[in-house]
Amino acid sequence: MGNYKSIIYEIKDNIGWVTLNRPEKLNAINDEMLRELDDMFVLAEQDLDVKVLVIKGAGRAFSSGQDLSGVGTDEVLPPSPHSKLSSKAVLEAARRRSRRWEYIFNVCKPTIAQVHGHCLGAGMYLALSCDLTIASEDALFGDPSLRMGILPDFPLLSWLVGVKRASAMLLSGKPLTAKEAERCGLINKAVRNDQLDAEVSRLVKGLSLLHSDALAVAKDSLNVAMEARGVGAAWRYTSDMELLMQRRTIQSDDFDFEEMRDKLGLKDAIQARDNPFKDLDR
Amino acid sequence: MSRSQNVELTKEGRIATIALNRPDKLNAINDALLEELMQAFRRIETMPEIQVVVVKGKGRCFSVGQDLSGVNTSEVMPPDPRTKPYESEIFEMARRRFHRLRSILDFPRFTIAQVHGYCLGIGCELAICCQSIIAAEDAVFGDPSIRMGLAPANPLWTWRVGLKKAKELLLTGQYIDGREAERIGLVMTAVSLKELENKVQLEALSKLQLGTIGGFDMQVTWGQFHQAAFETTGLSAAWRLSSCLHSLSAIQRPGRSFIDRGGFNFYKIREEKGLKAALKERDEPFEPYFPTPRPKTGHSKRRS
Repeated sequence: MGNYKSIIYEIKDNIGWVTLNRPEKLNAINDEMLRELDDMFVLAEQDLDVKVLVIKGAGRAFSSGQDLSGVGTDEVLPPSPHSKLSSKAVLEAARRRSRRWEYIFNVCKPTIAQVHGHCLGAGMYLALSCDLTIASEDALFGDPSLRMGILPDFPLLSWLVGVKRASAMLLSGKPLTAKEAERCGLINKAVRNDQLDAEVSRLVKGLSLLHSDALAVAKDSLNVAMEARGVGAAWRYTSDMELLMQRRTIQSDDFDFEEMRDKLGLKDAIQARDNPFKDLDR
Repeated sequence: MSRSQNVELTKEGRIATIALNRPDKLNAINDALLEELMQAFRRIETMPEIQVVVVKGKGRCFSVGQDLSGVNTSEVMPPDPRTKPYESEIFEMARRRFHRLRSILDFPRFTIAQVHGYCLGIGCELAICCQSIIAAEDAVFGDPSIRMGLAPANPLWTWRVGLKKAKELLLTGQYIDGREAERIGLVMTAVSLKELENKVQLEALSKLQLGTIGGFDMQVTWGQFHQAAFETTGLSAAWRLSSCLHSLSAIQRPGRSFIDRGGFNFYKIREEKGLKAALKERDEPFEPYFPTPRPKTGHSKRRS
């Protein structure tokens, strides 16, 4: 289905299976993958043959998050504070990013994220935007964005786990294990690694027996609870904050991820990013 | 002291007990029962000596939910979409439904649902609108509405168990037992059926004894803060919308955009083969994927 490179989209028995497919990069999300996901969601939403969507990752992880390489990532990453883009351009991009998560959150079909291994940053946003998130015990959920001066832009997190836990996650950048994530309501279920496939297929097969129209309305009715609590406004507000963050002046003693990346290469830059938090991450 | 048939209201000291009393129908809620239930709440409101209300079911279970027989149920069940009801009618019904259940959540006494056996559909809504649920470990909770093509009508689920769990339960219509309900925070405590009555009495008595200085006044005032907290997080707005979306799903005529269960039409099957067969056809296809826990105490028969 579709002419995709970074994802695989197949329809079997009225179930749409989406696989993030950059296994050699731990399914890091770059602009190409984003475009293909955008395209797939629009197609799938209109497709009467698709009752439910499952999203999973090929290889060792669901997704390690935004591709931080800086190549083909203008859309997925907020522009660096060094860039001289106009405020309008930056705001537009930030709005597009938050609208994307809101759209996926509200797609008129039930969506399930099947998560194993790393599920970080934008990868975690994708997994949590799905209605149900089922993980194997080896999964890790977190968002290290703040460690490199990027503002996390996924306010739904606070509604899922509460303000205290969301703050702890985002301010430390330390990921939660699947079991911890299950306990605090971030995900639905953590199952043994060898049971993940079976658990998800049981769930989607059951779901695919239900009435599509009822499912669409029921999903909307449940999301209404989040909307009434103001998650939509929070999404807009977060993208404004992202704009402010992008406009900040980098101080000489700030950790400058991009400079580090250009000097040392991506791998060492990520290590330099996480090194100061070694004790915390243990 | 109760004159009605479907609901029994009794008083003991400062505790009132509302017992759903249609045991032969597993306390399925029809229009008459619903009206008597609301009357019971209204009567208790005029009794200043009552401080705690226990809601429970007589017989084998708390309640199997809406009476699905189609007889005397125009208020608890949306009309058969084939009768082409007026939109205004069903949205007025949505409004009444919202106000009714919202007023139970807002009831100015401490309410405890004592749950054993099945606690489904609108029965479960009644339970979660109580301040607290104490349940038997093998009680069965759930809302199978979606399996009949109906969207859930009560967003309070999301406040009680969180968005992810609410979706897992309501988008699949699956049932969970009392212990699982306790684990996910739907139920305050799950105990063995033998201990249930005692546990509820203990909880009711402790509510009477706590805060005797502020006493009843304090309790009612606290209740107002409690409700205000719900309102600032948008509960009523969500509830109104969910009620309307429930109605919207009810006018969806089955048959369109079905894929696999090609037009499962509850009303039609009930008409042709009877209620029991319709319920069986509703739930059986899901059994391999979402097995229903069976209450040890109850009967295997289920009406909703």
